[in-house]
Amino acid sequence: MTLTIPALRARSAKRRRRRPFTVSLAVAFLILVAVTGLLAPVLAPHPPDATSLLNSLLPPGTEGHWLGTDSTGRDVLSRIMYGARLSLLAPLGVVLLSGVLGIAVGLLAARAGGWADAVISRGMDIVFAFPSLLLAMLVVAVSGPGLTAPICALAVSYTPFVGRVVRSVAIQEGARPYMESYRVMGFGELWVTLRHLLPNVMPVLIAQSTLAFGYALVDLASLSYLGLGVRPPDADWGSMISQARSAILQGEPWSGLLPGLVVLLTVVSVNVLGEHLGGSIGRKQSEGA
Amino acid sequence: MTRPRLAALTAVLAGTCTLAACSAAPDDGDPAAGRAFAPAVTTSVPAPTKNVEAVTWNLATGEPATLDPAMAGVESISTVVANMCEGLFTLGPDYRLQPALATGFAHPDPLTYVISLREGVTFWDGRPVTAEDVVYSVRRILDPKLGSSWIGWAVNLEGVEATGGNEITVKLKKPDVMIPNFFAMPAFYVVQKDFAEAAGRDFGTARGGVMCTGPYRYGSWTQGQDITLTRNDAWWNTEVKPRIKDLRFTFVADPSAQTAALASGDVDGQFIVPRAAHKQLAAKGNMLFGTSLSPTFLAVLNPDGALSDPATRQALRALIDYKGIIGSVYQGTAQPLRALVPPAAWGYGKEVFQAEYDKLPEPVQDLEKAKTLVGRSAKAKEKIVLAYTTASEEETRIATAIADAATQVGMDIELKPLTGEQFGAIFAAPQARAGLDLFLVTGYLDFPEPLSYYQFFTSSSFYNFPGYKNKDYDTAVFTAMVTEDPTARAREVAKAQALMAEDLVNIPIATQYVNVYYGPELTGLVPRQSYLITPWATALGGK
Repeated sequence: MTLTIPALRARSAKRRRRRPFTVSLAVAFLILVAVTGLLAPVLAPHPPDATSLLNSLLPPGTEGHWLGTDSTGRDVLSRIMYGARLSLLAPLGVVLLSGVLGIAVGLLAARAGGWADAVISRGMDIVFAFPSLLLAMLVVAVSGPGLTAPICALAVSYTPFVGRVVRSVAIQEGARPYMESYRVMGFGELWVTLRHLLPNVMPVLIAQSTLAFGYALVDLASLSYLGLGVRPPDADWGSMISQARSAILQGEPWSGLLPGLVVLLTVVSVNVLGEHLGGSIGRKQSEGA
Repeated sequence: MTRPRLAALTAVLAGTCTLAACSAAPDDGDPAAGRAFAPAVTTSVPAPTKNVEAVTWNLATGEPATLDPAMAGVESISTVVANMCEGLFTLGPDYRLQPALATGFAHPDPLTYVISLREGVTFWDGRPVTAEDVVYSVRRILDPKLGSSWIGWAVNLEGVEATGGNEITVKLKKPDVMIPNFFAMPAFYVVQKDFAEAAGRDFGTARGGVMCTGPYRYGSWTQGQDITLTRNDAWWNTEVKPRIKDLRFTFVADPSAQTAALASGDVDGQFIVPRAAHKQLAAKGNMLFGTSLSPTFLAVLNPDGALSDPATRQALRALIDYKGIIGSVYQGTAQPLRALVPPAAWGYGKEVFQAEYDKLPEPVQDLEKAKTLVGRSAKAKEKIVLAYTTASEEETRIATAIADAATQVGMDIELKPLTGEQFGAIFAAPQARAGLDLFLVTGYLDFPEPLSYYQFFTSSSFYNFPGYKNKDYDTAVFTAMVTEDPTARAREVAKAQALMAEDLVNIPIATQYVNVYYGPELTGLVPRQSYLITPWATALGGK
């Protein structure tokens, strides 16, 4: 069989676009974690809060406790499964909230231009300069432990991440001829922005949000580790690591090591996916150009 | 996955594995054997035979805010001050009063104590201790502006006067049998009047220092770094020869850092050793335990909610996993309690106390009984907010286990974790107790007198947070407070103890051992609760 040069190019491009194995692995892991969290009441071998002090710190492989138990005798596997819910939902909340705020701020800055753009951009610079974790800790210090306050604080901190990208893409898109043609046709600025500009911003936004999800997961796990996140006895991965500190000193690190590994793999998976999405969008935009 | 990310993942996993490897490993791959560390109470250790040039001792509770002996009601302050300043009496190994700056006292009538001061005692600067210094020191603590927690001893005080060159007299408004115990407490620590007045607000600070009579004199205080004491070779007590020349205190508060410092030998010793490090340190040096005067208990805060029903309180007691708490949480370094005051605090009338203690219900978990009690009571199903401090990992675990057991028997306990500061506010501010029904607390008695604790729950006491009112209880406590005869007093106290156990205003859980670690080259120190008020460093020395 003889292949023409265009056919070879097409095959080469297809090969390039084929999803890499690591991305498939990352997606599979994230699906597994999400499904595990969703079906935790069915899949978990024990209730997550069931304590048994005399069975504390059992090692992995113990009958009935595949991943062992923590310092109060709670099943580590069950807590990891239930912990997936809060550990994934909370960063999702941060991403959604910062996405909405970032889109609003970014589009407003891009479309308004002039002094409004300058003010919003400097405002984003200021928020951007403030460490997100520190802001969340300050908010928790005022409002007390719990997830709502850190989610809101992190969402505000992450807004400039989204806002800057949205503003940049919106300015680029706004300069394209099709936007001018809508205006000439008499469509309102708001309609043009929401109906035609926003959909073009979304792919970049999704890639950015995926990366932000990973950061938020780590930040929230850190807050829980510091005792400022979920309220006991609720399970989340960060608090599981925190509660295992003395067990690590005792030479029985598993109840902290395993949730730590899950956090690590989840964040790596999310980042792999985010970078892949970002790369795909970049390629599509170059091909489109 | 890109190469940098693979490398990062590998690095993190390797780091985590290293962390695990650095921690104490279970014995010979048998995790059960690893947990089989069996601490025992130490009552004696070999006396030191060698002098030691310098010892570095860590204060587990962090840097003291002051070294003013009037403020020695906080562990970090007391641990240092107890080696510098002395009271009129001190406590022996059996917690009995022993003469210190006083040689004895007469008690001519129930309202009078005439105390004879020791002659020839000097402060570190060589000036003699006078009756005027003693009276000044006692009165100084009574000034509410100073804010000393020791002011409480003087609730029945009429006055304190110098009644001779070497004599002071303490007059009471009404009899109080606990008073002599305070002669050995910081309430009667003697400081030099002229020095304290000249130092003013700086007294006890890094700038002002202190002037006392004890076996170690104040050397230096580099804030944030260390405090150094130097042996007072002119100490009046020639029967005791302190072996350590320089005593340096550090302020490492993080349990992991404490463990690393003790294990590496950077720090020679510490009280309140993190429980997770006991086994590791026992293999390296002297990890010792002693009975304490300290109870851990559930205290009712809200008398109107679910806990207003005695059945709820009984159910609570029945659901506590005493065995698990002693075995797992305290790793065998505690004993379950039947009454609020632990047996080690029976300073008199031991037979009476023992007989009455044995009659109290045995502390065992009985979930069926708890379920039955909850089934009978509508109140028992109402939400109970249980506060505890996250500063204590043990109490966090106990609270978690109690909440879970409560769920199993149909009760609803909401956990309320508090920081150390928030938890401390519970004792001081009514608003800090708002919304809380119950709190898990560890207290301690300053001296082995059960009355000193039971008096807190009389109807007029400031510390009677739930407003417990029981005329018979009040009568028993107040009668005991004026009963000089130890056996008769023990009967009254035991009566109050039985009433409290029946009413369950407090649910006793356990009494923890006091612990100390010091390196293998040191010896002589037996851990006792009294380390907070006695010059413990004088017992320590080289092997």
